[in-house]
Amino acid sequence: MEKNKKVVVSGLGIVSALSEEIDTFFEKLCNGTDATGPITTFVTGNLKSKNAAQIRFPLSVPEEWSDYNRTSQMALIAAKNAIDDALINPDDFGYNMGISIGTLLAGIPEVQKLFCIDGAQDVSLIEKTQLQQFCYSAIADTVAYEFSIKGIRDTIGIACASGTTAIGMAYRWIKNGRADAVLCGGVDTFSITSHLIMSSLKLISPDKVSPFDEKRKGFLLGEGAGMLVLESEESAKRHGAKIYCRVLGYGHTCDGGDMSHPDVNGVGLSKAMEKAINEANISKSEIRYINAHGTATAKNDSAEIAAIRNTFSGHTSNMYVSSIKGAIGHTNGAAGAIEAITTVLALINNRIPPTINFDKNDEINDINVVPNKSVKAEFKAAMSNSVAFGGINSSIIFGRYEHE
Amino acid sequence: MNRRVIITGLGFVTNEGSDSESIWDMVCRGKKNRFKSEIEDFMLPNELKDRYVGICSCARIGVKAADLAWDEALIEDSDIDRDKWGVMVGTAIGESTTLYANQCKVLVEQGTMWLLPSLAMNKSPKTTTDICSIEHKLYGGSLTFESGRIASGMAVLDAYDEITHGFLDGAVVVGTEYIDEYLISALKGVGFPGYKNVTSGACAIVLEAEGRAEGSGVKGIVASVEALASVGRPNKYNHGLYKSIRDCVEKTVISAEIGINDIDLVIYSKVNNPVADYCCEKALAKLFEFSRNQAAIISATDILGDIIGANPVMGIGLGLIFLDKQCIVSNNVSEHRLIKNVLIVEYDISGYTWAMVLKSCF
Repeated sequence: MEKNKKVVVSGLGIVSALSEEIDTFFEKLCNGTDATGPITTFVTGNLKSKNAAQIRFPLSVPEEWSDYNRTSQMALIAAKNAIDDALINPDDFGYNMGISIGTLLAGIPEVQKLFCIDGAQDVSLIEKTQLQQFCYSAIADTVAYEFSIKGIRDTIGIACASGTTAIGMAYRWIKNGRADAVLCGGVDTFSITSHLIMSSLKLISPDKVSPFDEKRKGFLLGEGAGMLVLESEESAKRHGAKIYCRVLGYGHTCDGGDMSHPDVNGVGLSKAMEKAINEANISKSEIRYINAHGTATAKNDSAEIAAIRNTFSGHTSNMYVSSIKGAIGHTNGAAGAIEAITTVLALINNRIPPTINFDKNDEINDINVVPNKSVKAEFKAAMSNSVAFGGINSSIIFGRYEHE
Repeated sequence: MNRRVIITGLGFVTNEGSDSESIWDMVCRGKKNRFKSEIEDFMLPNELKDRYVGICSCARIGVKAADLAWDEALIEDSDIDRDKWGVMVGTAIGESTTLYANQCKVLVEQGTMWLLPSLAMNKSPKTTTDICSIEHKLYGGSLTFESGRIASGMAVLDAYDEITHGFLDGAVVVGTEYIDEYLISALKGVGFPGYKNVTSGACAIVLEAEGRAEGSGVKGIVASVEALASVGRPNKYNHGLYKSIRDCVEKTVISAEIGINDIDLVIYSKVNNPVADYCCEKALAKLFEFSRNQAAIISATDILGDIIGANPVMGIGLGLIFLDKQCIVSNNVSEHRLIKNVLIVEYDISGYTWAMVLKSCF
């Protein structure tokens, strides 16, 4: 296996509450569009938290995918768009194209809906095709089947860091010679039981989501899928792909401290960022944008700010930070993938999307949180962070691709 | 940087016992016809039960197996850089059937107000990973693979790559699966013929870069790990399985820098689909028909039961025992045989295949 290959991003595909189309998604994000609103799939009655960022438009599902559950359909749409965008034919790659997908819930919300809302209440009454899609690996298996992808394949289940980690793993597979191209990303649908359990933990906002704001009240659950095609640089050049950017480095750590809360000083996340920077072999000052995990919960946001301060001490004034969870909610296993796509789009458009609903926070005046409207900025490298229950941290760095 | 990866610890939790001798007894007794799906109860230390209230059974057996492997690896605090050690766990279902069925029952029978954190905390497929990272203070990474039957194989592959290329120095790798009544109902519901053979169990190994452990502390060497697929419809038998098994085995043997003739023992797991299992047996028989060493081919699932996502690590565990015993068992009779290289093969019916070469350290 040839080692230390350079890795590039050659295709992007998205399904989000803002749009299924990449440019529209980014435009709406930059304009500060808020996709959150009342939950439509469950009677919220006297619940305190009645909002979510559900997709309110019909998915563009072709007839032949109608038997798949909603989670697989979202993954397939995003995958198709990414593969088309990359101008690749997976058949040409044989065993050298892989799949790496992150998810928290996979097809479980669909089965739960049949069980709770549609009244099945017994496994034997649930349709065979739905049961078969319950398994976490069903999404990656379905995508592999539909697009004829024959190489290495995995399903990562580490909650909210699943998407970023799936991309990081894909990056390492290509870099280390296990694959020439990998379709990678994450997917999750809205789950009413997750909404209720998170509400009881007081993590769900009663109204809007305002990451990093001093009056932040938590997040709203969202849904969506993000898929990227990563390739070795020579592979992308060989078939004439448009190259968006490079993947420069990836870091993954665990706080090893608490099952639910992040380290208050963000030590684990700081180590993940340091690992990614070391692998990227760039100076910290070159990273001028961080797409933060930014859940708008008290503990997560303050730990992430602490981690950014620890890592970028002396450089923070020259750097922008934003979280897009105010606009599209927290999409769980898809979050890292959609945020990675956002980071790539920010890099190639020289435009940083805002943190909507951010008003002020005097405690973080040293950090340039981009509020409400996008800003123009030219930069060479950007980072996307994800954090998950269990103290899991993942960071990935994308760098500008200089076309010859 | 390309480093050699060795195995220094092994831990089992099965219905038949939690030590290598119990497993070897099962090997000597030969094929079993019936497996218990749920595992006999065993005690976790009280402090763990207090710390992780309501911990699910899948995590209990996974954590226990990891503890046994860790203890066997004899790792001292001063031996390792904990920032460069991680935990990788593979599980296909991770007992999420109980988790999500219970949430539904509470919602339907008691209402929205009763969807409390206790219905989720310490019960997810990643709970084993989280607890192992916390208890053993391993900060280098915490990953849970949910890749169906290949899940724990992908955990091994990731740990192998991270150590080989110097991103990690070592990792605890666990395969764990717990078979509950909901999973049995679901397996019956989808018409899975082998639901009587599925069983709960966990197996853990400690992988690390060569250097720290010496002599008898080294149980085996991971020479190569590969995965590839033919692209069948999920959950349906795919006629490309034969080719993907052959291609994956050949690729794995080449990566290990040996030949097919150098394999002494093949361990594989049946998926309880008669056509797929016949296809695998045919592929392996063809690959080894002219083998100089007359490689023995055994099914781990005939001995230990079908532990779904944990099968790959369970197969490695079995391989390590064979390397230690230097014996082959045929018709309940053990016979001394020099075993240097063991090939472990796992597959699912749609054609996804994983293989690994495990070498003796002598």
